[in-house]
Amino acid sequence: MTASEPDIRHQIVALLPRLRRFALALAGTRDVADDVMQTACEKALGHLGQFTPGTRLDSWMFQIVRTTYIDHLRRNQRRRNTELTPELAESLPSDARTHEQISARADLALVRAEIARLPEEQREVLALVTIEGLSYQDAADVLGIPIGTIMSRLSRARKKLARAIDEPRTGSGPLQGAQR
Amino acid sequence: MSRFSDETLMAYADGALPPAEAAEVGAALENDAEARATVESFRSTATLARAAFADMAAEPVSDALVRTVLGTEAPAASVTNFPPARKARPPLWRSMLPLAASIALVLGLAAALFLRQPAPVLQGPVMALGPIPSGTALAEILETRPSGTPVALQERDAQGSEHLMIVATLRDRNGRICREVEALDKTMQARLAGIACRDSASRTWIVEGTARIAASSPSGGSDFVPSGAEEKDALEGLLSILGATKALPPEEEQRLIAHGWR
Repeated sequence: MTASEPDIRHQIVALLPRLRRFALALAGTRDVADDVMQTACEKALGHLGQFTPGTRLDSWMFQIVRTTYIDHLRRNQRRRNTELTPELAESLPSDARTHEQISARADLALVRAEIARLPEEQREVLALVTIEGLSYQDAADVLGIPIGTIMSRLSRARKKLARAIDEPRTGSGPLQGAQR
Repeated sequence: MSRFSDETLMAYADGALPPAEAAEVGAALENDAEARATVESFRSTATLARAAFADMAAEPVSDALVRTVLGTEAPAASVTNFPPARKARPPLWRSMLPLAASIALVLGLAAALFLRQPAPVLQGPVMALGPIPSGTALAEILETRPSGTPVALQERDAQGSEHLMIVATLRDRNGRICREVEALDKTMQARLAGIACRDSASRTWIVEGTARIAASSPSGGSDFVPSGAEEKDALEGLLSILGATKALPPEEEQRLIAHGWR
């Protein structure tokens, strides 16, 4: 069964909320994620002929969103660090790490901030597998790397995340600066 | 030092090991507190990361983006074809519905007008009475997803269920967490509703009851087949037997998800 072009367009619309969440996990800010999504969708529509019917449309779209984000990073390399952190940390109370009665919302903002601090190559694996629910193999296909690399990056990302959440951070990391 | 690598323990925590290997790891964990702690840590980072981004998929996608993808000026015609929300919702979870509206609209745009390519078909129904095996979509959704957000299934079941959506989270009279969940078809109509409660000792969800919901008019118009009321009543009855009468507010639900329902 071959899907017609309008079919594919409507399937992409159905995927948009997940694709945007993926872009948000990669980019860390809604502005950048929305820019990336717009460009990625235009790119996908321009290359609909390259999508192989019968293969997974979500994997194909994740791939396009990711390459679009990488293009964006290259173009904005110098600005990146300054624009990334503030939005993610904005709802973070300054005593979030020491306060006993930490609210769930701030807790989750903290998790997002820590995910944003992960190296790019670990964050994209975490976003695909843990947040979007792809299997290790599907994530390996999207990223074009071996499944063993997926597993080692993902386990390192999660160990780092666990440490960051469990142990109060001291010193002057970028987050500290963002907390004002 | 554990004899298993971090990657193996992570795959075990993620339910990604082949059954034989998973059994081997599971058996070894009994005498390996360090490995158990590592597995627990991998589980909690997954739960936290998912919870941290759970709301993001429910944020509305901009009209401009939808129009870009559809290549249309305005999707007004599509919107009017979206099936209206079912009436006669029990008031208890009515407050939860707006969260679902925006995403349901976007998904509905796609689903209402066009047939999607059929997904692979599951062996059994998506939701059946009794304990839910871990690693299934239903188990994952009950454990990690907030109310009001439909989740597309990788595999539809023979009854045509293609999405699952948590409708409300409640506590029964024994303090047990129960969630009402609906299986939706490709037009986002609920076809099956069920109540699943969480056994905190074994961390498994158990389906306590299900009710089939009659399909609405196939024309997609506003007239609905007015049956299904007694099935819904059956679930209401079950909820009152359980003593689960009041939906938890979204913030409480979010906190519980983030903390693994503790």
